[in-house]
Amino acid sequence: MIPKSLLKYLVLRLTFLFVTYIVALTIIFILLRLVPTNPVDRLITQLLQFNPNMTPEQIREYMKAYYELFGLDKPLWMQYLTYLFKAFTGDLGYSYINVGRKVSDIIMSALPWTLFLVVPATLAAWFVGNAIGAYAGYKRGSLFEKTVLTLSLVLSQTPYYWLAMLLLYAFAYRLNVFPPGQAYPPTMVPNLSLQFILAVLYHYILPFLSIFIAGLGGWAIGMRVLTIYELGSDHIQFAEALGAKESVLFKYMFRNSMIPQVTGLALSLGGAVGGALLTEIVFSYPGMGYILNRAIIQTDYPVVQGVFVILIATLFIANFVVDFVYALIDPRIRIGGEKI
Amino acid sequence: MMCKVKELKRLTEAVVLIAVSLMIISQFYVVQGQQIPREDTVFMIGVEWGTIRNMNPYSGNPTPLWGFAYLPLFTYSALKDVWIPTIAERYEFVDPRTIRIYIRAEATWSDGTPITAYDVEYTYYVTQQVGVGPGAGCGDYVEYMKAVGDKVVEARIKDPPRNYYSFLSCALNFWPLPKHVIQPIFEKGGKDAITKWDNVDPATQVVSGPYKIYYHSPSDRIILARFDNWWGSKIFGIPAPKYIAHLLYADNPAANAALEAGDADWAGTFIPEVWKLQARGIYTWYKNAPYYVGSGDIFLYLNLKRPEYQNPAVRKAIAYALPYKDMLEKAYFGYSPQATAVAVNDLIPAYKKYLNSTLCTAYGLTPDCKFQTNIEKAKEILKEAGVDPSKIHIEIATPSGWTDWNMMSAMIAETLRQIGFDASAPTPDFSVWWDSLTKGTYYAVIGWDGGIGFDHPWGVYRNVMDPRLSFPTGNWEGYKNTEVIQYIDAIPQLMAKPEEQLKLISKLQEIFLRDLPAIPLFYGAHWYAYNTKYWVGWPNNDNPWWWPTAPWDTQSWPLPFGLAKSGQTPKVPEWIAKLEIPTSKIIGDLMQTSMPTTTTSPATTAPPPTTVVTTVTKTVVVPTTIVSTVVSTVSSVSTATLTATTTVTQRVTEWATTIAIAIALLIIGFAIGWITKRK
Repeated sequence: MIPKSLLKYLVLRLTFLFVTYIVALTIIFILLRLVPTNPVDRLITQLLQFNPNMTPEQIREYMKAYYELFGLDKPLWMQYLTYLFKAFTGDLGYSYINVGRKVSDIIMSALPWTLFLVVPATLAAWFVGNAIGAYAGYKRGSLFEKTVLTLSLVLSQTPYYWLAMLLLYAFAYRLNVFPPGQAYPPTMVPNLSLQFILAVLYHYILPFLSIFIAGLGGWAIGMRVLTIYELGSDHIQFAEALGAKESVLFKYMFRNSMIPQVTGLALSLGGAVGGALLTEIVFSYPGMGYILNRAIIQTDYPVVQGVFVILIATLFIANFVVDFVYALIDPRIRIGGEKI
Repeated sequence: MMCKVKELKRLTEAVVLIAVSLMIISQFYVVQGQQIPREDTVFMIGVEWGTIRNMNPYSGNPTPLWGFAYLPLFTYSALKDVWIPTIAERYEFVDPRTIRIYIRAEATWSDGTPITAYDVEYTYYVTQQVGVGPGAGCGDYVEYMKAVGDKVVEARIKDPPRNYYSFLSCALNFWPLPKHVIQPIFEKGGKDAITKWDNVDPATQVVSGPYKIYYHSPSDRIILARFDNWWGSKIFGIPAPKYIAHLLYADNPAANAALEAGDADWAGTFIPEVWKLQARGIYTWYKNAPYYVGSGDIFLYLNLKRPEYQNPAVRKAIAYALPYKDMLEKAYFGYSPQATAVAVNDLIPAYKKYLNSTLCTAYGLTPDCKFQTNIEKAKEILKEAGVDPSKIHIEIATPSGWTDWNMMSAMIAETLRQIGFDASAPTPDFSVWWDSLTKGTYYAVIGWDGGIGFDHPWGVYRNVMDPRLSFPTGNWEGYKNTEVIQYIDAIPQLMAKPEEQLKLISKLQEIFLRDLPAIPLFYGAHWYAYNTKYWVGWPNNDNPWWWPTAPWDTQSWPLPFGLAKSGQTPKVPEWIAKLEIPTSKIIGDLMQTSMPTTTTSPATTAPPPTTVVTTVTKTVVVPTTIVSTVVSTVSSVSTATLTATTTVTQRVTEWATTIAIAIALLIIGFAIGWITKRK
């Protein structure tokens, strides 16, 4: 049975999360409406540019219709409440700029691409970064360690989008080895053929690399510090004194250093849904970040709100999950908890 | 313990992998593999950005591609000033206020139901309820539009205002939708349901044209397929392309790259230095400048709310100072000639009659009615008027990212400074720019205006000068002269009396030249380029068998009918010449039905003969800027190569030195590490 203390803790956490969630959504709502124009202006501009022969009467009618369609003629507090209710029931509404298209459809068409890009890249960066960092920490004092340290420092501070642009410029434009962007060639239609999958992977390499390389540094540094700390601990020194094999020592040390890294990974994955926004823009990768960017520029309120609803929810869930993962991985926390 | 963690790790990995793969696969399961043969398809670019829109005009923002699926009663071509009876067979003026339109007997929807006058009536009715859709805004000019027989539509003009331009445009240029499809939707769910209807399901879409939806993915592409049993096959024939497709590209350069590579055939995008593509078989309407047919007028609007701009001498001085030739060559690639000072589009032969050389030369213009850049004259005008330019502050604002306008306004500001004005050219974000126009806090902007159509140039004058209009529907500069109202109201009523109409138009022109409320700059180009790699027979200036030709214009549907595969001989569709009805014939018919007139003074607004003035408010599409609603990363590429009188700087990275320094630093770093280790 779940102990009462744990239950209390859970409920408190959930309430806190809920309140924070509403506050975050409110902030998004307010921020969007602080921009001087509204989506109707943009739609009218678009219409006027493509139909210079629209009579003033037509423009007037279209403006009226748009205001009604978007519910912008209702008072602000009503819009706000509708927005909140709908967010919790999962109805994210309809896009303003791409009139008639459901926001959830737009997001669902972009989400898989973002996950496909960010999750494997983050995981790969995590594994490889940790491995390199741990080994560097273990082989403290060697040339390898020094190189890793310098390189990781440089890489971790490199803005990932700048790295993306560099890669794009070098490999796609100058050397013409990789395609300059998009998820798949525009002449192909998504299907399950081998040809298509290969094309997707081909377009995948550069964005993947940009996130991978940029993330590598951070993890490596963190892991190195943690392993150095672990190396100084009693149980490792004791095992060393006993003459345990290197691989055994390495295993002990690695496992203990992992815990903060796992937290970091969980949080990182939680933020994955937001997409490496700038990477996606640089590579025109049709993911969440790309959609969000376009929606903000076009003041497409429902899409921006929808993306943030999902983003914030995912982040909070990730946060929430991290606590439990902690307990699973570290027996000390589990045992300690039971004692209470 | 260790095993548990390893297992957990492996489990997490596996789960994540499966989840991600499922998510990706699921997206594709829904999609069937669509392979359409390249040589049977016309690929277009420049119509859809960011997302493919739906095909429902009641949604307020449909894709113009619906013009291939749904045809109007009459189609209008502004270049030739003719009407083609499409779904309708003929028209008849019952009396000077009423017109009857007879729908073709053979006209049927794609599901076999005949197209009737009830479709027209119902479509119009729903538009009145919803506000947008075919015939939007017509309620002010049309008394009613109803069915008086299975195939007979009757429309009556509303008086006042008895505006024949709008009336005829509303009645003739009308797109009916299938009543048996929209009625159930509208009656069940009302306005909400009809505006949210997509109309992109290949299984249920009912069309009147030769193409039907084949595949639609909002994030990816739209494909229309030819409907071979189309009702019009005996009258109009069958177009050669089996498919019409539009793929989504990330931005303008990406789409243009596809055109260059031969992956696209029909372009409606802004293409920098388009003449260079002629070597690849990509052409525009004209082989030389201005390459494109101009459409809408682009003006320099000065905020007339500001007292310092209210002196016409200031505006005239500015008009003489502008560097028209330079501006258009450098910022706009020469894609438009300078606009006439009377805002009449002189590229279209039919409108040349509205240019009055005597009037123009009397007001200091060239005989072809244009302002000639003359800095000395500008300074003189200011001196004569006793205006000190250094005290006048001008900011010509253009939205950031619209690089052609940005560049133009920078050049304008520079010349204005030469005369002595305190001028600058800021580029605020679009929302700030629009807001300054809404609130009337701007100084000067470059903005658009009405385009060419049946009612040119009255439409332009109305949009610019009518004091009853305000931003964004018209009169951006805030001109407050009530004298023009009588002319603006009278001209549309005098359709059957072209000489009187011309007199009034001249009067309006005189007022325009006298006051110069806004300064016409150039014509927004009607973007049209085509690639002859796969398809030939495209209309152009040497073979002008149809216009409009931009893919985003709903009246460009005749284009596929004149195309042939590359290597074959294309044939101009004969039905165009056979069916076309010039506007003058419609005017003539109207004049015949009108009763003999008693004397009418030019200034009165209610002559006894109801002269039918028709304006065609066409859906002529003119993207006047590079970026419409596209991410602004587009424009930065195109104008980087131009260095004119503007301050466009280009940074060139010194690769050699950078790499050398980098390598040197790396070696030094290693050396330090090795030295410290040794210690």
